[in-house]
Amino acid sequence: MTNLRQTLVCGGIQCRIEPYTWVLRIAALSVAVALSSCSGLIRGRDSDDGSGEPSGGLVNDPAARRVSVGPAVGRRLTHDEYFNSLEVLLGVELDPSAFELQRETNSRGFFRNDAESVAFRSDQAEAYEAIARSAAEQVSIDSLVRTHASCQDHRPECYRSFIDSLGRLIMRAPVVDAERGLFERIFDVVRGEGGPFETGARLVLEAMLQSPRFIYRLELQQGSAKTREIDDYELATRLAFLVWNAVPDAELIQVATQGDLRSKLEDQFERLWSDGRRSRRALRQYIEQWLRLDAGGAGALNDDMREETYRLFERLEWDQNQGVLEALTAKRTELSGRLAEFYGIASQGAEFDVYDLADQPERIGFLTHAAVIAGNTNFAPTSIIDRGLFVYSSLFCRFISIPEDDATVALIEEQTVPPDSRLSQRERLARQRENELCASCHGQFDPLGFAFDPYDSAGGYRTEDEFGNALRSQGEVSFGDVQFSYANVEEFAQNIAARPEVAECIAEKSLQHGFGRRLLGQDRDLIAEVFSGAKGELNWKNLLRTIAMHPEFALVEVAGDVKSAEVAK
Amino acid sequence: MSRSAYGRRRFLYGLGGVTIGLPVAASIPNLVRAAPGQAPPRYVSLYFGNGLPRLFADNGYRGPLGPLSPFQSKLAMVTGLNMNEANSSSIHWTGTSRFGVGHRMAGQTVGAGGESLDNALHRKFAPPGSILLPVNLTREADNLGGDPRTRHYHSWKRAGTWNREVQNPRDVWNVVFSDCMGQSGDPMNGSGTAPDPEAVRRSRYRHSVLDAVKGQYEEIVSSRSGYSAGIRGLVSDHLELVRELEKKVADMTARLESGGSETPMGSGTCEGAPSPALNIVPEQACTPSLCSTDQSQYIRANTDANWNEVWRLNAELYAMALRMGRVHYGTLGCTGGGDRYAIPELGSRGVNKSPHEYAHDFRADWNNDNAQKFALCVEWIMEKIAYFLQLLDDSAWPDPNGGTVLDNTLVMIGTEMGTPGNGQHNGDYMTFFLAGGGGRIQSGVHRFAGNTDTEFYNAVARAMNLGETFGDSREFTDSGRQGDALFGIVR
Repeated sequence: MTNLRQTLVCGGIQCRIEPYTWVLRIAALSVAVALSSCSGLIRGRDSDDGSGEPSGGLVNDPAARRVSVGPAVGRRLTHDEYFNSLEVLLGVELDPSAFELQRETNSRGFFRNDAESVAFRSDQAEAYEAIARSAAEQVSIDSLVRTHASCQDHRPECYRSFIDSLGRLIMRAPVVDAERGLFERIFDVVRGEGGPFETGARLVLEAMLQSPRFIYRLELQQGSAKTREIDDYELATRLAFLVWNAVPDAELIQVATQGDLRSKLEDQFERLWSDGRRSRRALRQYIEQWLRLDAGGAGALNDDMREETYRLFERLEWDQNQGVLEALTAKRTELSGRLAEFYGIASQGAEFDVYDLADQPERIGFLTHAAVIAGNTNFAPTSIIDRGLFVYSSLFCRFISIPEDDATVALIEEQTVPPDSRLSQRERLARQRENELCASCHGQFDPLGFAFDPYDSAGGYRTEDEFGNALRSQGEVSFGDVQFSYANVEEFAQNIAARPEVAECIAEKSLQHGFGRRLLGQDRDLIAEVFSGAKGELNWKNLLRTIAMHPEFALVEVAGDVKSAEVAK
Repeated sequence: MSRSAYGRRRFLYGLGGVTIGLPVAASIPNLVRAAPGQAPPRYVSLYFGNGLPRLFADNGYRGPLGPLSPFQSKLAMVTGLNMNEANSSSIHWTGTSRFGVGHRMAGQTVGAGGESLDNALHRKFAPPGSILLPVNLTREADNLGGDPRTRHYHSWKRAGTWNREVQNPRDVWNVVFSDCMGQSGDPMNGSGTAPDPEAVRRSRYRHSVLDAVKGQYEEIVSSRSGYSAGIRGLVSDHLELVRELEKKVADMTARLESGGSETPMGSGTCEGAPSPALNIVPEQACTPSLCSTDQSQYIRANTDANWNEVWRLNAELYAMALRMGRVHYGTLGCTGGGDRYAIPELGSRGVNKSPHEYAHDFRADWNNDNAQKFALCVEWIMEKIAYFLQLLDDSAWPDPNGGTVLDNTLVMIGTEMGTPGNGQHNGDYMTFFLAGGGGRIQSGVHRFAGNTDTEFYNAVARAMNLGETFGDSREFTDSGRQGDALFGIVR
């Protein structure tokens, strides 16, 4: 048994840290890793909880099944979620770049909605104020008042009706007395200034859009047991974020208000999914993070590259009714004229069009999309390690944390073969793997990156590197139960698409994003069940529906300190 | 001549040049000047990225440090500072977040672990009307891990909360000068003229909204809310900032009600419409990158093309602000740790990678190609720093005591890592400089101090008479003034 506290010892050519703090948390629980030789901080799908039990497949004995329950959601909305929500609630579409928001990034293998990384940081109060004001200025306040207020003059009942109705929608729960008083004071100020009801309504909207109950996802953590079933408002919120990456709309809130959501959950899922504009937007935002497309460059060509990848997944999902795995081996893609030229293909016109890549053996599926290659290249002109780690973490759901201690770093520096050796990167890495400890880790993920060796940092294809060394897509992959060799990138993609670990990892990623938290050993059975439930037709809709309908989607852990407080009452 | 080139040159040499200093100075009502014969205390933290190898420091003011040689008599070089950060992989953000702070980073991504020195001095000593000025010019290395802002910011209000930095000269101009221009009367306390009823109403409305927002945050943070301590702690950080904003708007409302202006002198913020001064450069004449107010766009666009010009302009604006007493304390950043900025003008000398990459490949051997190229990069950075020192040392702008601004300003120059040996990318054996100092430093010396950076900062704080323990006291080994001499500090 290898203790997780042992440090990774690999001859990586670059020093990078990924904040996989959850791995350390597992280590703190004296969890062991069952990898045979790599002594790094590694988590694999089959070795994450130290139980020695394999994961994957349905658990036949219900008594042995572990319940997947995470803490109540308590985090700030990501920028995507926030601006999506403004559109859902108000029909207002603002340009995020017009506001001084902190830039959000996601580490390899994780999503921006990860509860541990979406903390509130620094001076964003003014930015949220500016966004709220812009949104309130763009909305039709007359329409909003007609929808939500029972009357429109300076009477308490008019204030109350507007606040309660709009507040329930924006804050995704009934307005409580203390909050109502705060909003009523805004109307009082407006009345004191001689302003109309509509002015008060607009200001109340501004205040609600800055409310912590809008900006944050906050689930109550009270309860007398260790876990509790979330209420219908919380379930509506989870469902809407799962499918739309946004807050619930008025209809979903209405169903929650009536207490009917559990019986209508599948109907509501279908309704949300059928809003193609919003579900496609959410899928794009998911794909962007999963494949790290946001790490690519800026500019029109780079935008086209990302668009190619989005369109592939959309076409398979909505137009061809095919599974996610098809995206790994697709030989048809959509390109703009300039992107076709970048790929060395004769343009069929400036606009996006469908291209057959039968004559382009170097292009197959999304893994060879320029956007994916560029987004996973941190060090020009190429990066076998980055690309290998990307496949390792995003398609096999395995993770390695890079070492920090001086001794290991010194070993890395000692083992590093510098570029001025003029050797190819593949050869430099091979020499580093001559060190047994280096090979124990790099031997696992480097061969996954060899497939992309001939691709430069922008995703272009080349046959030799800057030193004149020939480049090739060829390798032998061997880690865990994964064993295959490939002679070119097409064989690589076909092997990847055939791996059951990859299919299950796709389900796990959906679950990780859908739950907005990092998955632990306790989630293993849930992952297996979601995969099993969706694998007959492994497409996004099926995955999300399986997650939404799973009983543990509606389960939450009660925080110890809150439970104690309630008991004390 | 292209339209964009016209705009850029006009901005740089017309608006931004030193020549604008006099009319600007004359137009600002509340210049903060010291009493006759006395120089005001001033302090600037000047950061540069990617370290200074021991090889270069031990070589003295030659080669890569050659640009600083004209100021040798006004500099104390302090080598051998060690940062208690074990790892090298994350040094760019752990080290940068410690710069001028002396605390370990507050978390993996949340920034510095404490207040920065410039903020502490400003908080304690800044006279009315003086603003804290954080300026930085860097290119973020977004893919290096950690929080890019942790590498980007050098001025921290407290743990995890930075002071907004600017790097667009237009924003520097705005922060320093624009908000105080074109207003009559006393902008702090109102002019005695009739209040503008519409402005008062707008401000009251804004305040009523923020008051309601603040109340909701307080409700969530309260123990009766039903949320866990973790969630309440998270939201309480937000509450503190909402409170600050609410107070600011409440103050503004009170000023407007008494006939004052929306923005107080010395607020350090720029709001509302562009000031008349900005009209000197018509909006349409600007290159999108140079005149953009979008910092991220600006960073990417300008570090490749206009770096030198933007640096010079920012340095001139900064120096002018110090001369005029508009600024007494602040930070200035020149390049960033982990930057991917390959310096274009060194390309003809075979330097086609970034200083960061050369730092990784560094060998402590003057004959090594990477060492030679990194030396050229460091020399280029030192040229920028020397330009700033030269501006401060301009005898045409004497302080009341007859010395130059540099003579009377303590400039602490440092970086986030040391590179003591071959490719070592860590916080060992760092080299810092103290410049000027108003008699606070023993100039012309090269000291070896085997102490922590935190002790060094604390000594600087003592030199500035901060009167508070600065930095994380757990990292002190030296506690008295006797040890300050190690750092080239004499009082």
